[in-house]
Amino acid sequence: MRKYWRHVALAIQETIAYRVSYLVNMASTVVTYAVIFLIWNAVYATRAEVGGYGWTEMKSYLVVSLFMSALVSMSSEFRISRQIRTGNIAIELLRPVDYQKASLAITLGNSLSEGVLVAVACVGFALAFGATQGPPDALSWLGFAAASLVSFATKFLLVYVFGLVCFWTQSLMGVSWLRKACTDFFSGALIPLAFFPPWLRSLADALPFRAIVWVPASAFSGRLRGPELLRSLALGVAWVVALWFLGRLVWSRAMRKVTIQGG
Amino acid sequence: MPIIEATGLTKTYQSAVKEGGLAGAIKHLVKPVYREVEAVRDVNLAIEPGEAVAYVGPNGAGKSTTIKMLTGILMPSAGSVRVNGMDPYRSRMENAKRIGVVFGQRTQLWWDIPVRESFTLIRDIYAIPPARYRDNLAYLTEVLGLAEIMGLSARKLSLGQRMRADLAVSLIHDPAVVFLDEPTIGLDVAVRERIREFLVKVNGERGTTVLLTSHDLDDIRDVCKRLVIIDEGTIIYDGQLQGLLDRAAKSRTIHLRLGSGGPDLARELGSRKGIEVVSCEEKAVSLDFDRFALSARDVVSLAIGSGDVVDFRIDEPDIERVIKNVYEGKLELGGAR
Repeated sequence: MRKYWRHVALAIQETIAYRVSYLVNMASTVVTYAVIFLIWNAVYATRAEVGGYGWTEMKSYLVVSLFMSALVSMSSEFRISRQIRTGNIAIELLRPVDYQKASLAITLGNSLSEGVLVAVACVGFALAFGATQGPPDALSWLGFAAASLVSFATKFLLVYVFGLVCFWTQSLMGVSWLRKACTDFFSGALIPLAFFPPWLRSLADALPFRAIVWVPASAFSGRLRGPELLRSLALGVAWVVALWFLGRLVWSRAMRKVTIQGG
Repeated sequence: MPIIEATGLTKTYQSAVKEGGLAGAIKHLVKPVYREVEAVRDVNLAIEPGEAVAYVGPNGAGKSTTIKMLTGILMPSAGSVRVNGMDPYRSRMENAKRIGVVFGQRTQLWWDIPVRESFTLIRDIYAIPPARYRDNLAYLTEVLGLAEIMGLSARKLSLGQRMRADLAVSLIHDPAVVFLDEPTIGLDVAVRERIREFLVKVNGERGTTVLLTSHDLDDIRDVCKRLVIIDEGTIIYDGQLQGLLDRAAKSRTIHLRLGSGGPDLARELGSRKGIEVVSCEEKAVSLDFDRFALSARDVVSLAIGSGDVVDFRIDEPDIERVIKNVYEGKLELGGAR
């Protein structure tokens, strides 16, 4: 275990070394969200409620969405694909280290260090737009904390599995855009899943992406609570387990089929 | 018992056969055609503990592919490998604990954090006991001169510094075998020499088995006694380096500097069996002599006996030329295998 904790520690140090580039990434996410915020602001100018959401609830939904989207940054995706494309993955393979666990540890380290910044940005954002409605009670906070963990694990595993596809495609661009588009749409980052037409909603509920934004954001606002929240969390955990083994499967296929790039 | 043993080791790649141009690209997309390429073919290798073996061959001969299979990061297509009694591919993690590897083209160091931190990570990865870690780090820091770079991030290191740090990383967990793939590539003469001295020391003092690939023939001569040559995926020579040189370089050259009387001396010695005059001036004569017919001592005493010898120098067989001849098939390697 100790070796993986050391990966976490090194990743934290690395984030600090990369702080400028991280701040720039962060800024681009914040700007994107500012635009989404302004659009919703215009929508709510003419009505009090959209799809059962008042403006106050929508604001806190968007802040949580920002937090979740920024928590696992693109850096994990880039790291994995870069290692595969340059062949530096060979270095990882030469060590008595499980690549999936090491990747998880590094992503965790990045998220822990970046998380502080993300939280600061979100609080600033919330204050700037007056989104000051927090969870209604302690239980909702607890639910939100649990949902955040599931969100982190889900997003990491999706990034990991899609990253491994680079063994076959040799390029990240298409794969990463596909993953990002699916994540943004089906996680509820762009529009709350409650707004989806029934058939699309059923599809979104059947996919793992909802655990990334929709579940934690709804837990935060107290919309998702009690047995319904527990069911969502259990489903999220089941997906995490499934994706963990999918990662294992893809990895072992990759090892058998694919060669290490370069001399 | 050999510490590294490969039997019938073969690696076949699928290589896409594409016709040129857009039409070719589309054709490949619709109906891809692949050709089997054998990067390594039926390689047999047995290396005993404590040996230092040079593994050489021209670019694309299969050196790196072999090393990747021996270190467990590539699955062989056929044949078997045993390193430390284990299958390195199947038992990748277990095997990794007992080997050290340097790929000259890549680094094990984390790019943006101090070198010291990379060592801490390695310590935890290999679960090195604290006392042994301290001793090994002290030893490697001393012999490789790492003290001043420990606080720098890898990205700030020169190539030579980086390579020294990478060597230390590969050895800090006391591996029984160390694989070095081009460890001196791109380095200046002084650093190369230092690394060679270090490798000789590690091999001699600690008994670490060394498998080295290099294009630098001085590396090979200084570090290794045994030479394995691979070409087009097949081993074409496996034996003592000296043995190859003996067979390949039949003659040595002696350069004599004289007070005077060069032509007379050349005439005198040139008539002897096994000696041939290469060049002759008043004050300088160069002779080729058959190393099997005459010793250097014979030739020198002959020369001193019959001329005014001031100084002399003997050229050793040129290993570079010998290996090149082997690649080009100019050299008959009867019974070498």
